[in-house]
Amino acid sequence: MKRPDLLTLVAVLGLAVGLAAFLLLSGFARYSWSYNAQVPDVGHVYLIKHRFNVEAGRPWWDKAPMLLREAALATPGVTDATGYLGWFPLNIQVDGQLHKLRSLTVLPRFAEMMGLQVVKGDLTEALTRPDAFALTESAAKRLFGTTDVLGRAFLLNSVETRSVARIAAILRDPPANTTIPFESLNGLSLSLVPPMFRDEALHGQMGWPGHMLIRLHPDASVAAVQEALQKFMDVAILKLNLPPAAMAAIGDAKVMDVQLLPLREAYFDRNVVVDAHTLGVDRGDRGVIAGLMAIGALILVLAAINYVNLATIRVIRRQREIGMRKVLGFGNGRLAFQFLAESMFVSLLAAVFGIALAVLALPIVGELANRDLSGMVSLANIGAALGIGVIAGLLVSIYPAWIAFRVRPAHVLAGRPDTESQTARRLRQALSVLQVAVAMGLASFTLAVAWQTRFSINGSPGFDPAPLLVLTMNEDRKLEDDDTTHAFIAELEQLPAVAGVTMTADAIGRARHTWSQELSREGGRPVTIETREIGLTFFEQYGIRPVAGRLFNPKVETYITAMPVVLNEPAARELGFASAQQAVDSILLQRNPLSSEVTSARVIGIAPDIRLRSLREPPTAVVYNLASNGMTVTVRARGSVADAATAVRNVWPKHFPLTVLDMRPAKDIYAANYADDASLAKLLTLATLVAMFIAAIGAYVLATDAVQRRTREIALRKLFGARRRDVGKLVARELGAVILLAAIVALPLAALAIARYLAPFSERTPVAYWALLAAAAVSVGVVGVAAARQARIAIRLKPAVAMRT
Amino acid sequence: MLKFVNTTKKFIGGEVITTALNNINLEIGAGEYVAVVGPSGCGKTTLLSIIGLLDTPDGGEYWFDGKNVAGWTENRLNELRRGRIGFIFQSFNLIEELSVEENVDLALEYTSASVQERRERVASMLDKLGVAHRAKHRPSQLSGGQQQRVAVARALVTRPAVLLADEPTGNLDSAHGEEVMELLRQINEEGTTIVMVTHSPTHAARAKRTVGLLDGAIV
Repeated sequence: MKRPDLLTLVAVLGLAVGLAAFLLLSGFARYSWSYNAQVPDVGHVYLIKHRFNVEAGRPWWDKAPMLLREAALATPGVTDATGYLGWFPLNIQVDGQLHKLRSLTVLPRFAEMMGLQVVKGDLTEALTRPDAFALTESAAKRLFGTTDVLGRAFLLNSVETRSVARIAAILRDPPANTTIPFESLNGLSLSLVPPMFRDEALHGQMGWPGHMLIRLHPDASVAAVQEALQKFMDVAILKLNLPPAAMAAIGDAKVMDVQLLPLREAYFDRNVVVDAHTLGVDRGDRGVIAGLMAIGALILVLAAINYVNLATIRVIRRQREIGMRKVLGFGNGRLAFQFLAESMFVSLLAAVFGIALAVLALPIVGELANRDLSGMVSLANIGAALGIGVIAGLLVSIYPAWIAFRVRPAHVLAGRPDTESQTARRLRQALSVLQVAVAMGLASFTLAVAWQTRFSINGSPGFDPAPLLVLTMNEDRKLEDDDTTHAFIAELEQLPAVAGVTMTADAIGRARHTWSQELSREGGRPVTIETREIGLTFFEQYGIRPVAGRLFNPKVETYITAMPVVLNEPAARELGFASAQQAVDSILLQRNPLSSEVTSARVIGIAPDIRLRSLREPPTAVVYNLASNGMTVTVRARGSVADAATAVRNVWPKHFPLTVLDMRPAKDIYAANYADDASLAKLLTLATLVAMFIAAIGAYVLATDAVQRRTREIALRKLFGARRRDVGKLVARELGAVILLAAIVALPLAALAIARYLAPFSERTPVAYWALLAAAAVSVGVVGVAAARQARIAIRLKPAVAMRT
Repeated sequence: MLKFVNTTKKFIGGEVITTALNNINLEIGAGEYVAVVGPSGCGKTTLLSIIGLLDTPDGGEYWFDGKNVAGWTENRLNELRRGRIGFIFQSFNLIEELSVEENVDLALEYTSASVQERRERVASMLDKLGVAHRAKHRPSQLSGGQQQRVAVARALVTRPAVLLADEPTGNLDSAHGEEVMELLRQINEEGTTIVMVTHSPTHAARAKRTVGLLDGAIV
């Protein structure tokens, strides 16, 4: 076996990095496709979705009326049914320290259907006693520093009271890839759960929703069960006694649609409402996951191409050795064994390096992807990765071994090299073009995604978010009747670091707490318009000026003033006003869809269109209503935002000693809308770096090949007077052709992909398509640097070489 | 035209120093036809490399066309060599990826000749050497003799003052070898200085002068 040379090291490194990228990306894809796989027999578990067609916009909810649990249990084909309620996080106190705890209130049979594993304690007791909880191991460690906490107590804080709760069971953590994540479980008997809610959850009458899960018999028809549940709801809904106008408005549609969704698909179901009553869970995009998987596979192929190219060059270099071996009696079988053994050794080495690299990079990738991927490291996965490495090693050794077979000793020992055919060489060159093309295309797309994400996060939302701090209050805290909150706000307003305070139903830029209503002008057609409930000083504190008329003014309006409203410009247009000015002082009619009661409201002014949610959604028609029961308090800093934040932190415990403060800069609310885009951009950046690295190796191989193949030509050219720069140009021309061809292949496809990515955004970064040029420039740089060594060898080649060939 | 004065060339390979040329004194005038003979490893190719300005001596002087080039940089040697020296090799050294006419044109690529002039000179040279009908072919499609004719065409297309031939008949059968030797004679008749390295006493005898080399020294 030959001593490892630079080419071997490059081959090992390239294959290792490619394998690591493949393992990470394919592992991430597998992780994403395995959401909820921990649930026993998950293939037959479904969650029940619904939509209430009376609701404006008819959105789907991943919840359903809890009365469906008993109905499902009575439906043929359903073997089990349960449900859970994901409240806002609980505020608890352990040894004097406040913590938030992500707890689920579960219905009977939850533990059995989810296949929960009890580490210690009694889960039945934990879910039935009025003061008991079951904690996961990691939650126990987070709160107490140990899992040995059975019987330990903590304080459970609600708005007005605190009670003692005890830990009755410790559970194995649910895997990170679940749409039902929790840190603790409690039963309906918990003292915090209102009795009315308990009854509704068990024997529903009112139609209150919860997350409902059913398990079907393997032979049951999903459609038949769905139809049965739909029929049940069709009858149950009649009890609502909807007014004729509401019934007329929904036309032929059912009042409520019920749908079964396989639990395995829940992660990819992004078309559901997320409101303040739902704990947010991970959602993924099937296309993005498939794309990342494809990129991973492509990177492995590109790395394999490099290996084939490098191994082929090595064979060509070793023709004399091979020829001599053949002369000395080495048969093709022994030669094949030698090459396969060398290749297997190299690929095994690459596989080991690749796996080590993947394991080391896993936490980084998890952070980039915003997912806990630690569960991916297992003996089975490492074994599979080694298997992939060995198979890849076998496959990539076939071509170089074949080239070695073709070596004719008589030729090579007579000084006539017996290289591969021109077609085969062209094919290898085409594969090098593919490498650069993939890197260039990926870099273009990555840059466009990153720039668009930055543009989305940093773009002006129509006001300056810099001095604003957003405090999310507990959902059960109704500000209108809450003296504590009013006292808190009053104290904040007096702080020197605070310029002003206002409240809104939900943070601006977030759409967790929105609802829509039908508005119409007198005699006009009704228009569904999103409603935003805001405090009196909202416009003032957000620095928003009217387009026409005036905005809410604390000196004129009070919370009991009858129905003054402010429209934004799209709402004025949708309602049919020719101009913003024309809408001012007009009267709008608001119809309650459930009662059909009609009230009137006066438009006092038109606000500019500010960004109320993600740029992925088009600008929405909005009516601003006055309300004093917002969940969100916004603090405007007078000078330094940090000083204002410190002042808020100091005041908070005085008023809310039982609650953890949730405060963040207003800009972060927008950033949260693009968390998935930011993760995608980071993952793509990683993939691009790997692809660029592999393309760089490809360029190095190509340059090595070109210089090796053209040594005689270069020497001859020098003989005929070619200067160093002429030789440099020669190498540059060869690589330039590769870059040009790569650009022709990659850039149109990248442009298409960028267009597709940008399509859902209502505003797009003006520089998105410059990404194509930037990626081409980066590719030129990378290829140039990678090929520099070989170009130098070519430039320094002594023309006398020609005399010896 | 070419003059060696106490010229020495050594090669260092690890701890082994090989003296390829040892105190050579030799003068070759314009229009001469010199054959350099000697056994393998005697320094013939090194001598030819220095004559062809592909290498410089370590000691002594080497005068080319009135200039002592000892110690010159590669770029300066390039400038001096361009268009002045033609080379013919034993293994022809034709580029398989290029056609016959492109191979010949290669020698003119770095001269100041215009594209049109290059095209005319290539065509005329191929015609003169009887391979014009093979202009579009690849070298491997030609016989050995034809390939060497193309190599000669490439060497002469720049109208060099000196033609260096390194075993020009080494890869040819006797008939084709004779053909090439006759070609060289004609070229010399037309005024081109020729220095030829050969093993063949018969071919050496066709030159006007023979220089023998042994262990890097003229004998």
